[in-house]
Amino acid sequence: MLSKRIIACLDVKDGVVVKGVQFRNHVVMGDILELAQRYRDEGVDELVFYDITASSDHRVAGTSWIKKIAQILDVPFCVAGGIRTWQAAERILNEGADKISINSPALERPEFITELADRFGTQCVVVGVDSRLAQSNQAGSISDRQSETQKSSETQQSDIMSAPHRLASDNQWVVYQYSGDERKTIRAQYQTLDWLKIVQDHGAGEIVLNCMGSDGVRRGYDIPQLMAARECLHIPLIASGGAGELSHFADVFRDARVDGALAASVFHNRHIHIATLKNYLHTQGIEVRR
Amino acid sequence: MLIIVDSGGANISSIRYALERIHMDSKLSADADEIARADHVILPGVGTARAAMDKLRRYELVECLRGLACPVLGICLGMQLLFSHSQEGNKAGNKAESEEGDVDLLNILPQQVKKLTAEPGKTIPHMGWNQVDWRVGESVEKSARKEQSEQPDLAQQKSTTHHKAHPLLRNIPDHSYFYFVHSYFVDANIDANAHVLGYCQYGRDQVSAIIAHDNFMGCQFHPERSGDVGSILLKNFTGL
Repeated sequence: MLSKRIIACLDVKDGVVVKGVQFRNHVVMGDILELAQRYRDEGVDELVFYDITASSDHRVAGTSWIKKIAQILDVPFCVAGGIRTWQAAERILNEGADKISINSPALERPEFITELADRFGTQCVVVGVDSRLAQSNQAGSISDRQSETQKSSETQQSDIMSAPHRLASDNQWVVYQYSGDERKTIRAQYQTLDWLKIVQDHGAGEIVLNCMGSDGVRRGYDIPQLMAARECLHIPLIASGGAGELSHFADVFRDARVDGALAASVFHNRHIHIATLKNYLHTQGIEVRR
Repeated sequence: MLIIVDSGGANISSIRYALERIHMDSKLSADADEIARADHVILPGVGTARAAMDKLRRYELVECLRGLACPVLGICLGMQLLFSHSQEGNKAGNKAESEEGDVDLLNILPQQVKKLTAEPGKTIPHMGWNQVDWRVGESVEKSARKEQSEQPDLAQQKSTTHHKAHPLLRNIPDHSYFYFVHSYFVDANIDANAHVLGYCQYGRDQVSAIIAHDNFMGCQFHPERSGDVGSILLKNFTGL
């Protein structure tokens, strides 16, 4: 049986691994190669390296460390950060990365997903989606400032009439862009579930759903959002944001039926040891590679 | 010299690094004469069957590869290329039973490469770590597991089973996890296909995971990304 994947995410900034709380206030967690090797030895199934400021700084993820990682790692890894051209993707894949992950460039131009999938195969193309619950029931191509404005009941009524599936009581998640840098983070024009389907239709091989509301606070994955995402996807889905305890991993695999669970700080600071986590999941009847 | 065929796949450097980790030199080549003189040949491949075959034809490597007498290991798409034809790139629309419009492959083994069957709750591509069951010695393995405590001598029997199996599998435990990434597969159909050494189950599909036919071998998973067992498999291959 296909096992559930435990994925360690290393946010890279200026050549070192960092971690922030709810995408902010980044603190240094350690050396890239050292952490990569440690996770491999602990039995991690996959690693993701996010050059978190590459996209908002308008540059491509550095390649000097990618080759070094490829030389030491014998488990798959993915590189993300500022990949806007197929040439940049090719360079990273040729350095030895197994997958590339794109986020903001896909939002700017969804056809880019298709171009990458056609050239390198759908299995190489991961799309990261940063998403959280909207502040109000309004979604679409408007800014947060607008959406926070109190709307008249008449307008709300007309929204309900025209789009009954978008009631305030429904969970409405929206996509954010450039979330690596809080000063540059903006709300994108898509509702999350719509965007996930667009991403899948454009040929993505996998989606990492970063649930911003739960990221870094360790109270568990955003199960309702991930369940909703799972319902509308047939490609692999990776949960990201919120892991704090062993039970959170069991919950997300059981309830949201995700293919993999990604975490960062709980692994970096040794709160959770990957081998211990896998033994625990095994006792919970969840298929893992041990 | 071990030659990695330059079929244009993006996983070529990962394979080179994996060989470096087991202290094996390798050379990338698309030259038919050089490939014909190799001691071992690895046929990688990421991308589509059509693109890979176009490239092999352009470099006039089809007959060269078919005629090789040294050990050959196809990895992922490289394994699929050893078969006769593939639905991948079939513009006629990938009808399950139709073979018309399929892409012609190297045709070393006569079987169709098919799209993984879509099923509710099954994600495609098949991406991640899946358990591979050996075809040979399966019953012995199972009894060894069940009666482990009462009959410790079965552990001996288990290792004997491995030696009876193909040398490519030496020292790799049955039911090991390997890393898979693919959307097309070769049906294992183990009752009919003697070339299947190991298979894995993905939904209803029984996927050929490791195959061997004379000097031609292949694995659907990525040994270069399958941790310790992947390294052992590559070592076994380079030792042939």
